[in-house]
Amino acid sequence: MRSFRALLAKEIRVAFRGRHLVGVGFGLAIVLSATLGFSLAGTKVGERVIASLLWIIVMFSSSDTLSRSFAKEEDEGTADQLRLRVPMPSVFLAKTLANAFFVLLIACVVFPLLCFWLGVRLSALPLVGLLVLIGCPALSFAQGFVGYLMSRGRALSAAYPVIVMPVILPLLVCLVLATSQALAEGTFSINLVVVIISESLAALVAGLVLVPYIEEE
Amino acid sequence: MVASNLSKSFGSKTIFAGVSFDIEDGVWAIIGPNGSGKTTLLRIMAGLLKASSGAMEWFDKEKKHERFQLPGRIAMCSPDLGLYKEMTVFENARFFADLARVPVPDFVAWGLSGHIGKRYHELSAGLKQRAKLMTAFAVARDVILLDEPEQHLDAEGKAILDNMVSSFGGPVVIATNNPWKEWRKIAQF
Amino acid sequence: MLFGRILSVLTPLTMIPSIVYCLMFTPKEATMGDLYRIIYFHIPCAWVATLAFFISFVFSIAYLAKRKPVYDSIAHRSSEAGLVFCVLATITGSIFATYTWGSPWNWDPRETSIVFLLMIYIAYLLLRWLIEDRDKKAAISAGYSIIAFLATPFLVFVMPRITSSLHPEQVGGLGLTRPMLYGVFGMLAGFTFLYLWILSLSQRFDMEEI
Repeated sequence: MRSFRALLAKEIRVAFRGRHLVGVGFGLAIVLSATLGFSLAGTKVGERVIASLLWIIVMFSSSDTLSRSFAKEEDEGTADQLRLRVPMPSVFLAKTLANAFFVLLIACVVFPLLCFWLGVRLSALPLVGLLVLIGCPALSFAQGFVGYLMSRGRALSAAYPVIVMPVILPLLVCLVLATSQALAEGTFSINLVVVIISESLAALVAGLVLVPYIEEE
Repeated sequence: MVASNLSKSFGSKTIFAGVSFDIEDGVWAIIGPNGSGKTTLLRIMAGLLKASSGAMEWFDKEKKHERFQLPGRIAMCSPDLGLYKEMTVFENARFFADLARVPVPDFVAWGLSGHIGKRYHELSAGLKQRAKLMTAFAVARDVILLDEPEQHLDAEGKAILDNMVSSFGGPVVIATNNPWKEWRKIAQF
Repeated sequence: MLFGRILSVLTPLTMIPSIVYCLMFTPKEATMGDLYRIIYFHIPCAWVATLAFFISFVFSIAYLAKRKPVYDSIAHRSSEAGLVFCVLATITGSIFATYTWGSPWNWDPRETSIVFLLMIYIAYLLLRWLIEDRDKKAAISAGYSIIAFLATPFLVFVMPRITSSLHPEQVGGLGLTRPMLYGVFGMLAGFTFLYLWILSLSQRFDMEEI
């Protein structure tokens, strides 16, 4: 537990002191939200569009924080230091959990901005907030293993969005559907939430099981 | 650590072949010029790389260890291994000590007491090497592997290293092209 | 080798009579007339694509467990073949949709699922193309194939339930008569042999290279 806590604290410290999360993650989230808010000003935007925009901005703003974090460790030789000290699945888990927190922080920037600029009904906010709380860790869990895989092959990080998108697309569709239901009807299908949680947990568990096999290479 | 008939090749290029050794406590050396395969052999010994053929056995001969069972037992310092540049010397040392469940190392012994609040990337090459060596010695439980450890060190740094190497309880393996003492050899490439 | 030879005989032996039977001897469908005959190609293509992706998934697991290059080759070649059949299933499905639903693309759950599958396996092949080292390529793409396949239950079981479908399977079936079903089964067998033949040929090239 002490070593896992240390891994988690290290992830958060390195991410906040590095420039990428703050500069690119939050920066991109604000710029994209503002651009879309401005482009859609004065038009009636449907709930499905708002839900899609919310998740696509969160997705793109946070898309490479995880793969970059894995790749950075490989490039700077700290990944091997970790391999010598702890089993890699625990590193994978710590990185994925820390990334869930970063995605949530990015969503906390995007969500109020979009709601404010696109005029979302206040009554829908608690439910959408709940979906953001569920969806951000889910997105992170679903892409964790692909982020790890990308760091194992050099020069793959540029292709990351293309490689990861098909894997998380089903999850993204469910999140968009549930969020648009919450915005339009003030409720959402519990089945969608079950799918979101089970898909993301399955991906996380598969990642934990598969990491040692990839490490064998 | 016992190796029998180890070989490693990348694609069609053979790095080395037929390396066998059986090491116990004490200081051991892998000697050879640049590009001869010293680092590759050390990485195989650390369990970071798989040999193309031959067998590598760690620790207890009766209880066969696999590579994935090694974490926590072997420490290594190599030019390829780094510390976190966003974290200070103290934070790096404490992080790796936490992973190894050992106390934070003695910064004074390594001449780093005046630099513990500096971020790793702010250090000079020599101080970086001292920080890496200090971390490796702090977390080492059974074996320590050192790849060109004297690199960038001044006379004081080399003396500290020499002292640490001779006082370490278990086997120390040093890969170098410039041995500064007479050690028993694992391999000479 | 022998397996390939057997398939080289079995494939034409099942495919040619099945095609002739389906196009010339099965009756017209009550409402669609001859148009429905495209399903003799559409269903086998969709089936073979699914089978090929499943085989790719199984051999990816086998590769990670045993590290035998032959398993990686089968996983790779099977997903390539699967992708070709998936594209054919999409095209034949679109042609059918144009005449029955009035538009070639309707974002029906089945259509959406097939786009997801195409994206997954295009990404898989892109990933392989981007990595040069053979062992690395095999391990990373095997991991990707396994994690990507986890999305398939969602595509097959969940997607059609959470969105409405126009697909005949969801709106009361195609109403195929017994002779039509024989035709479908004949084509399914023929296409399966064709896929296995393609797989054995392409995989043999890989083995010769290794």
